[in-house]
Amino acid sequence: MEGDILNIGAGLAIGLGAIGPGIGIGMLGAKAMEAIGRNPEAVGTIQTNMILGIAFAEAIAIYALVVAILIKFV
Amino acid sequence: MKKLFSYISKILLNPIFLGCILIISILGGALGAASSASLGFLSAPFAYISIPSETLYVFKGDSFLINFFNRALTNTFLMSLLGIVVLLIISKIATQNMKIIPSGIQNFIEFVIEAMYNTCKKIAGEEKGKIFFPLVMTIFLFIVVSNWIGVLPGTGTIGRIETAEEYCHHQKEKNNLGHDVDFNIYKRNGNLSSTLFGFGAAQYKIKSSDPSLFNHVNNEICSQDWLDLEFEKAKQIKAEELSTNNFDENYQAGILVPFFRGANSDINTTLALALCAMISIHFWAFKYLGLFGHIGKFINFKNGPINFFVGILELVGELAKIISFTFRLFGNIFAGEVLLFAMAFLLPLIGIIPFLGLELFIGLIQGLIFAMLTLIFATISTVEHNSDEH
Repeated sequence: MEGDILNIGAGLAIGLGAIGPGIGIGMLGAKAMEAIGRNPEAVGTIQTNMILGIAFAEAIAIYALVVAILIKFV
Repeated sequence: MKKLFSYISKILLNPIFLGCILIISILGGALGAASSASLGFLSAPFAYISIPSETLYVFKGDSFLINFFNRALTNTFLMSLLGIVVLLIISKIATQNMKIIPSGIQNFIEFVIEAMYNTCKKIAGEEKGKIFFPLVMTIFLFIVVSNWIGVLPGTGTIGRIETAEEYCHHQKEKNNLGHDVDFNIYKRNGNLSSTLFGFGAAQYKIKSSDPSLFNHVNNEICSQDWLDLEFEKAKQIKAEELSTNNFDENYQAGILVPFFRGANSDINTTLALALCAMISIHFWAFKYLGLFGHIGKFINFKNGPINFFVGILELVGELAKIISFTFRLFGNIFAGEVLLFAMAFLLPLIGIIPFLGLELFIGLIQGLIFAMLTLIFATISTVEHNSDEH
């Protein structure tokens, strides 16, 4: 019984935690595509900055993942 | 020779051949094992996932070195040493006979280093870029190399079997009891065992649920008799399931302790890297802004109470940087490892291949992000900021 609740908790932790970063990464990608479409010569700079931004957004999903892993395995 | 090569590649890329492999992998994997007992011939037991790195060897003795460092040689530490050795060998080969017009590996290394050097100078400026570059490049190379050798076949799959009894003993020493552990039954082959290609796989698990395992008889932790009894029962059930009786003394219950495990899947490695990066950043900040210039950013009495609290928030932000450095790298690499374990378990032959590519990409990107963030934080913290302007 306790294990079942732990499993549900781990699933919810990563599932809910992935919503925000998902939206964030989607917006970053969309805006970067828009920017590349407007100014194709700046692809390199835009890509580097986009990947950096995605890394920040992704870090939050990773926190949720770490919490989920801690619930599941520790 | 060339003809043979093209012939082999023709076979390997044939859709019918690939389809056959896919069907074999589905039938032989966990799906096949779930549907019928006679299938699942390729499936390995699901690897034991442990967040702390596993100890391979404990140094005994009382000398200063042993007391100063960790007594335990862990598999992730071994892997990071291996990464350093690989880097040393590559740089030795690349600089062996240097030419003015580079070619081969020297060309490649020069390209990588020059690209990072130009990025450093572009972001931090000519003068500071030269100072930040060594740390940034070191972090990048170390992380990328240790991530890439962490996805080589053999990491996480070849190791020693820690028997159930030994496991309980260790957990008792760490005062970490009451876990639910699935012990697998492994075939013993000398001291070496492997889950690679399902070698020595036996899927029955002894499930140890607390408190029956840990406080079984008269509070005696992990009584040997009870484990033996449970193990016999497990072997019997498995043998009946397969309608064979080939389980003899060569099988034992335990968990696999891999010899190699990606260095960054240990939180200590990533924390050490994050601390190195942040300490250097603050060192540079003190060097460029002076003692009061740097501290004044965090403890700020000059511009009223709001700026004082902004300064406190910045101080918290510095701690958050360390935490996010640590967990970003650790989470990505550890999750990648669990993903590879799960795919090797579900689709043994073919399922792991696209994810190996993904892991190589993630390893590169994470190294790049760690290095770039170090560079950017260093640049930001060494720039004098004037709060009067806005």
